[in-house]
Amino acid sequence: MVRPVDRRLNVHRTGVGPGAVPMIFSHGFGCDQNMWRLVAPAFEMTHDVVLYDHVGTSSNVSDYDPVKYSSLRGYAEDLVELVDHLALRGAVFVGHSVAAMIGVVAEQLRPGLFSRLVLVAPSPRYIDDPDTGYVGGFSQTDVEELLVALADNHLGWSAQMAGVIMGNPDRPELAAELENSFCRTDPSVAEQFARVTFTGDNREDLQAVLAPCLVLQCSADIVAPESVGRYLRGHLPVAELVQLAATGHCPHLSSPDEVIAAMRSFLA
Amino acid sequence: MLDPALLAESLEDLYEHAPCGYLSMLSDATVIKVNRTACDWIGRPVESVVGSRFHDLVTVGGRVYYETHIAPLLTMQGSVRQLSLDLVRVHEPPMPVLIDAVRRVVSTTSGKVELTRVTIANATQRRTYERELLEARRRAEAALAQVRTLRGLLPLCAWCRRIRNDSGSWEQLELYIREHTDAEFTHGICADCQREQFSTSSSADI
Repeated sequence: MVRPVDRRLNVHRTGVGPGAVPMIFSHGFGCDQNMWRLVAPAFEMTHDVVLYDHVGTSSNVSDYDPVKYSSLRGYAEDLVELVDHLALRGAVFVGHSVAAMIGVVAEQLRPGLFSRLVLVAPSPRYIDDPDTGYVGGFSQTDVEELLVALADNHLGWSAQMAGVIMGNPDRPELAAELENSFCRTDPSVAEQFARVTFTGDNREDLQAVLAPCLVLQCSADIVAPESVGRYLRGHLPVAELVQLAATGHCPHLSSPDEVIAAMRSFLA
Repeated sequence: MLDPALLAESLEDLYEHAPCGYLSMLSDATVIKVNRTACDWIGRPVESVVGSRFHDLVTVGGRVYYETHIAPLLTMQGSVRQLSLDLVRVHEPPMPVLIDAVRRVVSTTSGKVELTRVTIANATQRRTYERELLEARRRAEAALAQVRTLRGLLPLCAWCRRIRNDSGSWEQLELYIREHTDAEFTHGICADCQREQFSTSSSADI
């Protein structure tokens, strides 16, 4: 039986609640909604803040369907369903990494779903495309190697651990107490999500996004290099590119104040 | 009585020649200190490793894993344990390693700085064994799936005795069984058929 979408996506609604402009935070590949813990609270006084987990994290791995989630479309459908279910109108979408593209695909599935999109360290394609001169930062071989390396790490996921997590889907606090729980995924799910993420190509989807976008480009980010940020500014119909001083791929954890300031300025 | 000299090893020697690699890095992953064991594995002098980023010490998978898992976990829970990465070496193929890391706040003249201490253990044999176990499980699961195919209901044509295969077309029973099992067929004739065939042909002769 399919659970209601807000249960499936482990939704947490914080902030001032219905009536204010909704702001939906969508996490990237690797960890869950806890990634937003240093940024989301800054908008709780002004927005109807909605946090959720993509299906396949430790909170909802029992809802995972390898067919549905064989492309970003499955994740985007969940997002559309969530917006409908909670009746979130004119929402600001904030997506990190692969979730930025999940937002783009959702906007394509349902034009006008969001009023604005904040794309944190986004990339429409990770693999270089020499035919078009596109530089994603990775070769095909890099990505194959990456998928093998990701499969070697299970962050303590074992059949025993899975029993604790999956046996108590209604008591996520049990899982939360366990080490690495924010970033732990069933290895077979993680492998498919990694494959979908790193072998995807969403460049063609960009033109469908008519809402204004803010592209937050990090410094020295090996996952989404600066060439990708420039590509997005050039190919999203209405986009503003902000170069962050923050290094690495997770500025919302390493430099939350810089991210919050850029978002406020974009939304003002 | 233990000779005090045995316990009086210098801290420097304990650090430099520890049985594990040991390094310290800033929160942007710039290495500021590294021991001899790690440098020997990497095949580069200390001066060359210090100042590089953690990303430069591991293969592409490790770099992405650092960004998507290690850095977030260090921020959120202050430590990570037993992560499998591959250490890049100058003269040899990458070395499978397990790393543990803890984040510490250190007071300096310019204020508090977050440092990450990383230990690196050689995991070559463990990795080989894990991969062998995974491969064995994959083969066992494949074999089990095959057994399940043969235990389930097989759609058989009541007239021609052909069998419907996985792709939906009808094929000879012999072909199906040959494809799904290790069995081979030899052709003979049973006593009933022999009698029937023999008696028909002999009656025709007469």
